[in-house]
Amino acid sequence: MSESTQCQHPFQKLCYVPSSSKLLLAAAGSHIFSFTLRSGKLLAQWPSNAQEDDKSDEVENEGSQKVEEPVSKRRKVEPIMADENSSDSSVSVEIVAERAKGQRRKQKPVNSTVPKVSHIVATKDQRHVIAVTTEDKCIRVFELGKKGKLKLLSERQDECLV
Amino acid sequence: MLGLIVCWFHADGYRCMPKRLCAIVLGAADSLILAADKFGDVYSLPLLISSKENPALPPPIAKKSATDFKPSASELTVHTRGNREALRQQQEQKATAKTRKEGPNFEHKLLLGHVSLLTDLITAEAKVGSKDRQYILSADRDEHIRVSRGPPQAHIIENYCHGHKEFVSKMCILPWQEEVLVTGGGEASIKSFLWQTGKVLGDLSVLEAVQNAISGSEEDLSEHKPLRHLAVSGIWPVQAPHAKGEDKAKSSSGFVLVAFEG
Repeated sequence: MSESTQCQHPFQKLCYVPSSSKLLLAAAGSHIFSFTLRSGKLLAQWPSNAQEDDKSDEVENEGSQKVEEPVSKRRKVEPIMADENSSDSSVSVEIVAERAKGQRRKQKPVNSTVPKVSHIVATKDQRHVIAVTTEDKCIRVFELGKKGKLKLLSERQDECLV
Repeated sequence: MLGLIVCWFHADGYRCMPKRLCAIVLGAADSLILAADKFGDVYSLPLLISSKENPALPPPIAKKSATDFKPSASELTVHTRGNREALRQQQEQKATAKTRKEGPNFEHKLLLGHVSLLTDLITAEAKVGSKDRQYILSADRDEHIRVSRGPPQAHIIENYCHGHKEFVSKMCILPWQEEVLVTGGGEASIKSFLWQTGKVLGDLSVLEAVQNAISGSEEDLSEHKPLRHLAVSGIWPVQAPHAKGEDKAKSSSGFVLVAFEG
């Protein structure tokens, strides 16, 4: 590709869409990139940077709420006073549990892996793209714009008379 | 005065399946998504979510049944400290009884099932008499390639393509010869079938060819272990460009690219 992209994951799936711009959809990690094979230029990506910023703000807010956790169990070892040649085996190891009785251990940090794209399929009319992600087992359907932009089909229309 | 207000609801339009998906393909003139999961089930979903559904809503929680768990002991019958603590925990468990998870709340249909993990899923079309019939071909880890009728008769198995001795990983129908199915799996060979009848057309062993290609390579592969096992990870048909005067859609030849892992 003529343009460098800031992809951190290798491309794991490709999908060619024989549209007028000869699109190549490439999945790298949880992102889908649209390239045009005419010039190799990156046309669009999903999720876009603006959408990513919104999501990272949400994750940060969730993370700050988990600060108050019970202290984890710590192991405290008494310093060995005897010299190295001593074969005295009376050194004791004291394990200090710093959590109160009945409290659970500190929970493991939430796994914040963003789901990776495992499959990309395009319809023959080149209007829609279907992507499957692994960790959340989800199917997403996108509308494929002329400039390679992917729009997640997320809007529903309700009409009401006033 | 009458007016029209258009209200837009923003909801994440993704649909979560019960199990991890192994393969996905479009069917019924791209109006259906056929998805195969790791449990061996193939589902069909409409491509577009209808306006009546809202997959963003959590699946409905099943109502608690009348026969909830009730501890047979009570505070009058248990006396020791340990038993009272156990009874207290049982009573708390009853109060927060786990509710059964319901399935997905969007439109979906179970089409067919294998008893093993599915590895690949493709659709095919063939003329039977005067009608064009749709078929679903599904491959699994237990060496099966099943040919089923298309929806709504996907439960009817037309036949199996037998021949693989290891798991089947990839299937491909040749666009220039649509009656031929090319498959690969955990063996160092590629097989071809007449998928409508299950007849084996060819079985090409490639281990020697791959070994020769590697030994003839300019790279220094002396540190690598000798190649013993190969598995197919991808099969892609490449249709030959049509000759002058020939109909573009009817180019009658091509070749197949196969990727191996070893």
